Amino acid sequence: MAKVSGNAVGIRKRERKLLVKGLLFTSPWIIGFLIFQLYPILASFYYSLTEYNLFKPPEWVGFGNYKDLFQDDKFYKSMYNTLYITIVGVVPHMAYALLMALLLNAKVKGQSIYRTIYFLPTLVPAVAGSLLWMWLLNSQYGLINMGLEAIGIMGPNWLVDPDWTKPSLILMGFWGTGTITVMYLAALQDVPKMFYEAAEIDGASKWRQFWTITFPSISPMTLFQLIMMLISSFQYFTEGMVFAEASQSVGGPENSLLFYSIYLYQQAFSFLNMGYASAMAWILFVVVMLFSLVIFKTSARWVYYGGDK
Amino acid sequence: MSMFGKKTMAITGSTILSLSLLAGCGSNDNEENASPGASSGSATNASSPASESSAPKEKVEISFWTTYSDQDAGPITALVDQFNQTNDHITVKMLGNQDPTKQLTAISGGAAPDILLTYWNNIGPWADAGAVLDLTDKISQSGFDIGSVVPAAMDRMKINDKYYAMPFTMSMANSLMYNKKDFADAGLTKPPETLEEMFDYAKKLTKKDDSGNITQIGFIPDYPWIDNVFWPVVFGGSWLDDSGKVTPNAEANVKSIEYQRSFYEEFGQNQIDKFKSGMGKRGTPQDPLLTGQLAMYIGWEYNFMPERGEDGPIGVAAFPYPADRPELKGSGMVSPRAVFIPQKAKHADEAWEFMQYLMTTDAQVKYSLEAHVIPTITAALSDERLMVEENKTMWEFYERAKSENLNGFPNSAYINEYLQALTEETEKALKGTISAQEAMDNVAKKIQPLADGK
Amino acid sequence: MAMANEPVSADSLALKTLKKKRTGKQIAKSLLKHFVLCLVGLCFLGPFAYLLQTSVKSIEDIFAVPFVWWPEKLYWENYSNAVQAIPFLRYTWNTLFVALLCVLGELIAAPLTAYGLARIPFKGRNVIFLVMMGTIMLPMQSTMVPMYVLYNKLGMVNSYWPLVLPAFFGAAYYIFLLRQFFMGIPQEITESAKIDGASEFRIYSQMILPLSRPALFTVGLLVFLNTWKDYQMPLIYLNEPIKWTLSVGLKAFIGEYDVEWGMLMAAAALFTIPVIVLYFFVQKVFIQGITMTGTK
Repeated sequence: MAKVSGNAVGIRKRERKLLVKGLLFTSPWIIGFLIFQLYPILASFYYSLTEYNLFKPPEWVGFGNYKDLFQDDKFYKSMYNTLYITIVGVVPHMAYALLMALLLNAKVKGQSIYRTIYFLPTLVPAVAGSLLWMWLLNSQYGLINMGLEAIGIMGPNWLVDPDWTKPSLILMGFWGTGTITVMYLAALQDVPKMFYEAAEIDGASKWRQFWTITFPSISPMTLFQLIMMLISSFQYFTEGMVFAEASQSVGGPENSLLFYSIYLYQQAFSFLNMGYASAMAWILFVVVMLFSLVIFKTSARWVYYGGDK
Repeated sequence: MSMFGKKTMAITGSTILSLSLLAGCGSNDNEENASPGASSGSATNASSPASESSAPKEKVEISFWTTYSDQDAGPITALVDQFNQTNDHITVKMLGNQDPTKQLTAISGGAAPDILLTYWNNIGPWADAGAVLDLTDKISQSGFDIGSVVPAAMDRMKINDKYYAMPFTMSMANSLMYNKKDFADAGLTKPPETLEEMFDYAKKLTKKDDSGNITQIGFIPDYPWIDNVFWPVVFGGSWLDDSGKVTPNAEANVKSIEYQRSFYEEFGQNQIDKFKSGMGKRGTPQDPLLTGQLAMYIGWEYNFMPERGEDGPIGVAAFPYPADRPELKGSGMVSPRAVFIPQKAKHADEAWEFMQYLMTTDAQVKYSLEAHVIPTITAALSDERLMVEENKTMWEFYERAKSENLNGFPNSAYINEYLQALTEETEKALKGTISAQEAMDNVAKKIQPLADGK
Repeated sequence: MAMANEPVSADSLALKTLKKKRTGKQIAKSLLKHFVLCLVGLCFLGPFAYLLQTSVKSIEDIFAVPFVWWPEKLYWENYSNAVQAIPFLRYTWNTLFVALLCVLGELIAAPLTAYGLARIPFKGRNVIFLVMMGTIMLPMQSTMVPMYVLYNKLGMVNSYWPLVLPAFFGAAYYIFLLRQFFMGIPQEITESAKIDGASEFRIYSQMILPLSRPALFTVGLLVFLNTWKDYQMPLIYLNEPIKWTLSVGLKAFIGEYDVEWGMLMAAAALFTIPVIVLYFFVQKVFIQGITMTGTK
């Protein structure tokens, strides 16, 4: 008996020590959170339960905003557009970035140059980038449709046809995958080389090596990318605004570019419905959180941490 | 992976809830801490309280925010400089490039400047929300004559029958601009008089190649954007009646959309879309009106400034009117630029003094000469100082600005929702997915509750 | 540690023998690799090449249809005009100042927090991680105004504090990234040190950090890049033009009805070049990273 309780005390002591250590290490973020983030987040949640126009004191309406949202056509439309760009866009962009990272990780002459080139589009400011895209995607004299015509395909009216505006954005997104590629490159450096040597000796094919060594080794990075791209895709804003501007309206042709964050922004800063906009923000929060939780839960099956035992 | 257990979710959830109740109040009473103009020093002493008020004889510094970027800021800077030189107790400190989102954030966040220049359609919602100072008292105390201002511009500053801002300048669409060469090639010697005539002109000015593709088009009614104010104005439409009923579906409004739609029926939706996407970029040397791809265009006073001269390639005329309503001749829309004082401005009196200066004939003339814009003080429109040769392309616009048929969209708390709904529904009607009447009925149905509520 | 040394020497030996007998098949393979890289590389060079090209074009050529591949006259004066039109050096300095401070802050705070979340199995770390992730799932548009209220109450509006200070407390994005890296480092590496009684901070600073150089450089690069490009935060919080950063300064060329395209593009090119140079050197670290992980 005495021995057991002694053990329990020992465990508790160890746990407390861990807790102190853990809190010390995470304290920078915790302190920052308490000072800078907690208040705005709580305020936003409170606003979502009020009618608030940014100037007069918020008026409590309970879940009124949430109820109204579910009857708002544009809420659904913007959610649809956002889901579209997320579901169709995220995985191809990621796969593409990984492929590029693998190519750029191979030992070839001029590796540094290649790596820099692939990163360049990420660096080009949006003003220049959007001009180029308007140009490339132009249905009449754009390079893309000219290319398609050369192989006998009638290219669509990318920026005007509501069915094609979102695919245009996704297409454009491939050029912006430079940062993901860079992070994958960094992750690839951590794959122990001896694994490949062993596999080489066993005569495993490159394809097999990728799935048995590379992919599991960089799976923590894949998890990170998946979660972060999900979050940023659900908050898709800038590119949509730039494209919509070309068609001189907030939501683009037939609101096909009315993304969730854009509609939220419009509600908040153009219509001064900050309460409504905050409710939108919290619904998005729940949706993204649910998606993330599902990914985290399933990640146990495909993410391998070298630090795990 | 049990990273996110149910328990942790529940705990965070309840903490957020209880804390939110504590944090709910107190976000709005922060004016005493605001020192935007004063905290101009380095980051470390940014919190020093405003101390100018203690020194009585010193000049009061007021901060003036505009939307103008450096590219456009020259004329307004000159005006402010002149004010600073001549005024003995106020110094205006101007800050450009302040877009409406920033303006809104700063005013709401308790760091409002003393006076701001913004787009006129912000005034309605901002004023209704209580962010903008009601100018009624200031106007009556100082004896400012509202009647001296172009009525169509001044009306845009009115929300619930009160004036909240002054129209510093205005833009105006009541002209038809056309490519002279296209007209000559089609054998047209003078601009169209009526809208019906304009439609015939458009047919004559449109060319197609052998496979039916448009190679030149006479007119596109929704280029460069769907204009949900200009067209109803031209047809004598309205948006709100005296009883507070919204009237986007009034006969004239619906007619204005049907007229626009008729171009799509005539030339084909796909053909126009396709041709439109191949047109050069607006406002560049490849502008379709300059290249002749497009023959006619709804003209604003800032369009084709050098090219619309006597020997230039662009002709200007009054915009056509409906043949059956000649009394609507000279109709057009105005879109003013508004200056306003925030409710929480620290130096409202000084800001009002500066605002009055901006609205003097002298300042208006000086600004118009340098920026080539339309003054909003009626007297300035006829001022001789503007009738100099280098300002010649503006002359006929000053003349047209005197028209009594100028109009604009009523300003209100829900103006942006209203305009947005109009754009969305007009887009559908122009594409022919629904009729013009249905589209405008939809708008009325959507906006009436807002009009009733606010 | 000594154990891992052998494969490396064996590896370099193997490489040497491989080099001696490069077969025709291998040469073909390497050529193919180059071909693919070049082809895709061309596509990726596009936007930047376009930017450079437009920056020396006349306004007529920029929007000409069909596209002008090689302008007859090059307008180099776009550059000198752009640099003179706005206080370019001042803005560059301001931007550099903010970006470097952010990198410094993030590199101090983010790895610490990430280490705590990744390698100290304390109670409640999952809650902290969950809340942390939650903070970035809420769109910033809904917290922008309360955030401004907060900084205004702290007297920090119109100063660099709102742009720089948050970095010193770590951003969720970089913490999550580093957490993933730290979790990937095998426990065996730190186990012996723990048994020897090394403090947690010692393990962190002398074992984990050196092992994570590629990750830390990546974070530094991304922080720099994101701060460099950020437009919204400097616009909202900086009132005096003299304090503006380059991204805000670039707006000077965009008028309401008129855009100075030539100057805008020249300034945009100048805006891009420092980051390209920085990136070129940072990615070289990845190569060093390989040898280091190999000798661990």
